[in-house]
Amino acid sequence: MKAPTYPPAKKFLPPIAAPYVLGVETASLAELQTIPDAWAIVLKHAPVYKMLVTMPVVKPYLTNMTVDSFVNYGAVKAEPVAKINEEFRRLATPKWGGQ
Amino acid sequence: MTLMKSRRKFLWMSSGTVLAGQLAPSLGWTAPTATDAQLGRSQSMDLGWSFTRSEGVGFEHPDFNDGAWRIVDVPHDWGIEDLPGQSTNAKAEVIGPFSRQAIGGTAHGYTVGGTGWYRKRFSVSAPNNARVHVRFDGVYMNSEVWLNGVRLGEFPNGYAPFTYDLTPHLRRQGANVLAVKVRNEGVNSRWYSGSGIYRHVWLDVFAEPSRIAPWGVSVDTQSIEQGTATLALQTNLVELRKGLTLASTIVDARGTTVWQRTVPASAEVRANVRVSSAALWSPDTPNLYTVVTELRAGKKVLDRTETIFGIRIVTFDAATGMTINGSAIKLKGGCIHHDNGLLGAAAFDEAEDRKIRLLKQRGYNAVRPSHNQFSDALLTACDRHGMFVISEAFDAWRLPKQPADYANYFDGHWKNDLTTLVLSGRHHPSIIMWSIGNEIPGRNLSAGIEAQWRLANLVHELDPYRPVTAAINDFVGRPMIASEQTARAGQAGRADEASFMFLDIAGYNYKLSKYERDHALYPSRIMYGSESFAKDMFANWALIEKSSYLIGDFVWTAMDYLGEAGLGGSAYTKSAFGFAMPGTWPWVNASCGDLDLTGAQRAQSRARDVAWGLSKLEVLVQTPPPEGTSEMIRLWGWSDEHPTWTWPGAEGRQVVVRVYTRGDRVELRLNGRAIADGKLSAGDMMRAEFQVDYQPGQLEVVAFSGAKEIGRKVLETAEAVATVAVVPERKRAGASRNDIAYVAIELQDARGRHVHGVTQSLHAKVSGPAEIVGFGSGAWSAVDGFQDGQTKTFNGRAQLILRSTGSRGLASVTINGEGVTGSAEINFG
Repeated sequence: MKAPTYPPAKKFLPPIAAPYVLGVETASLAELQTIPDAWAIVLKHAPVYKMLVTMPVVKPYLTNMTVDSFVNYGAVKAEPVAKINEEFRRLATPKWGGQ
Repeated sequence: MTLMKSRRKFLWMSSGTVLAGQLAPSLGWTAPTATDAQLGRSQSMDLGWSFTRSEGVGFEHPDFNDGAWRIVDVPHDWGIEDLPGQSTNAKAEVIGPFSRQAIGGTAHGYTVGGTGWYRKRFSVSAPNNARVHVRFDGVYMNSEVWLNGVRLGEFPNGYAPFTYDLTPHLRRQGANVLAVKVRNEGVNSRWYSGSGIYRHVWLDVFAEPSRIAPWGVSVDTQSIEQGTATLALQTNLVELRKGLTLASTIVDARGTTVWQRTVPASAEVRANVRVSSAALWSPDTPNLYTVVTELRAGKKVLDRTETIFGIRIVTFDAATGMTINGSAIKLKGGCIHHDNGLLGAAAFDEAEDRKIRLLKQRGYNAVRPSHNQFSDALLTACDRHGMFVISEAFDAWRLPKQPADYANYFDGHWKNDLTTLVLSGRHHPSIIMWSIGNEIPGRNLSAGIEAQWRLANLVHELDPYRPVTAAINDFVGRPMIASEQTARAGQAGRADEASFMFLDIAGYNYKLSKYERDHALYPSRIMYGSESFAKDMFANWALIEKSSYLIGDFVWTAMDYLGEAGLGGSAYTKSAFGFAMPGTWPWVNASCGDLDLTGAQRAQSRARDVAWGLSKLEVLVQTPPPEGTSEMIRLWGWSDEHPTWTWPGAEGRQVVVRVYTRGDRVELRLNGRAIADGKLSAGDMMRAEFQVDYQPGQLEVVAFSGAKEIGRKVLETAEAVATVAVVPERKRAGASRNDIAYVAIELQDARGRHVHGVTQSLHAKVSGPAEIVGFGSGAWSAVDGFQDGQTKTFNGRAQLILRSTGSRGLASVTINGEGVTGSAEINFG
């Protein structure tokens, strides 16, 4: 039985983004707030997000959290989030923004 | 002192108990004490620090008169001491160490930081060319250190150990004064951090500059074949002069030498070591070895260390799961914080060891010390008791979670702090992964992705034998592809989500619903629950047990902690629908642990006993909600339920009885009469619930598997409180100032049955060689101070913690309450 090893890599080169589709799990709240059309869809179906993104316990995590996150934490129901996702699909997927 | 004597000192210390008293046997604890250091490593500097919880000018000056300051021995946490100006004013309540107006609010558990100063006198009896270093195991936070008025430096990290070379400014004759300023200012943490020098302090006196590097010995298991282990032993030496030799000796737990070698010393010495009939380390068999390393000039020993290690191979694979020494195993894990309940953050060795013992008793085999470097004492306890560890470095990188947190220092310090974490911890066999961060904001941004790579890669450079992980919440980032030069081994050209792409093992925070989907998308990804809700334990473990790619789970949390107040627990509401917001003042602890602040089992722990097979049947009764309300359980909470049938005032009302069992059928009998019968299917997740008309007496529950009875529990209604049981967890304790003893206190009726739900004021009196350092309960709220000799019971229980005064003898404890008294004795010595 041999021990596995985890060797270091040689050097850092920025990874290349793979194609993706805009959805409630593929964009952070911070990112969505910079896309007016997308943020309008969020607030149309779930106005509570306007308040949620200002909460002190949430603000540090806006780059980490998605619309979908709040379903997991029980603050938003799954139905409006599904509608947001559906409407997102009709928007053009934004270019890679480092997220 | 000769080297032979100092060697004996090393052996004492390697026995697992730091004998501060013996190292300086003449030192008292009530007066400022000067330490006389001699040649040798790890000489305790814990005793006799002058301390003030204030700021001032000239405190660092050696001639400053600190006669009005208090004398404390470290570990010391001023944050858990009673605040001045205790007040019942509704808007500005001050209760013990808790203040309603504390700027850290719920995050800090309403405790107060501030600035404090420590001063310590010491002398050194050693040759003039001796090197003298001071080593702090942990100071929270932003410490600055002066020797004889000369500033040596500052260190922001509140959890990592750090050292200073005192040599250039040392007085070889007479007294030296070490001054330490500690600033715990602003909102700098998401939990209770403690304040001050809360871990040990050591002095290393080297015979000459040539010495073994700090944490300079590593031993890694490379292979195990037919009982013979091949180890990679590496020793790093610094400031070497010519003509020295390095002697390395490996001894087993009985002290038998199993391997030794002496070679010419060089900056880096490597050896392939073969140990036949190796006694392997695992959670079930935590066998340990020690490598004794000596740097010699001829026959003279210049420096000497003992490094404890274990021989084991841990593998991870999505298709075959996790193994230890070839045997499959799952991580039965819990996240823990560094505080020790009523002691605050003070890291007494026994408190650290007890925490691990308690969790081991409850079936845990893994802890994730969240979210920072833990004490060496805790890691040593994990080695000794067989507890896996995910050692975690950071809670924040560049983007802060709190205005004054570590993000302010990350760029200038991460490399040093991460290096320290790995080098100081790598000899611990308990550590199986390095975590580079928890829920790091910005980790999916371009700069965050690069930071993730740099941290992970540094860990791999320092320790290629352990995988890198991180705890990832919510947004995992979008798929990306790394080049051959950048990717993890075997991952070049493959799409992976940004948060995971440089992690060898993926930590999922609260993602029970994502495991199966993600496994389908990324079948080679090895996953574990780095945090989970207690409420999901049965569903989690049903999935873990059938999924090789899912190697375990860490509940948030295994033991309760101060701060993040009101995260768990439950609340009562008149509406049947809604969302239970976190508790605020007077909540001071998180109230989400399997064990409470005192280490006592909470309801979720009893349920987990069933989930993990420690028990086949547990019966809990929900505290009847106030009339017209229902219980709302917080996300990290659990119903307020207890293993008791004592509910005065509930006569005639229905109460909720919850039965947790591995059986498929249960019967309930109340006072001998069958009242309910229920079947359980797999979908019930080992839980059945019954509404029962409460009447005092005896509730009996029997569990069956098919026709076979597998468990029986009886809950009885207790009568009025008749006595207070005072039960030391151990009758003997050591007699150094690092030795503490826990005493369990319980209200009982005349038949010795625990009386639940009674809140009674208690007073503690101690005589003999011990003092009170903790007296309180597992209550979630600010009730009283922890060091003033009085408290109130919570659910009929309390806890007393005694600290040795440093003298040997019998300590007597008397607990007085309303009409009850109890006593016990503990032998310190």
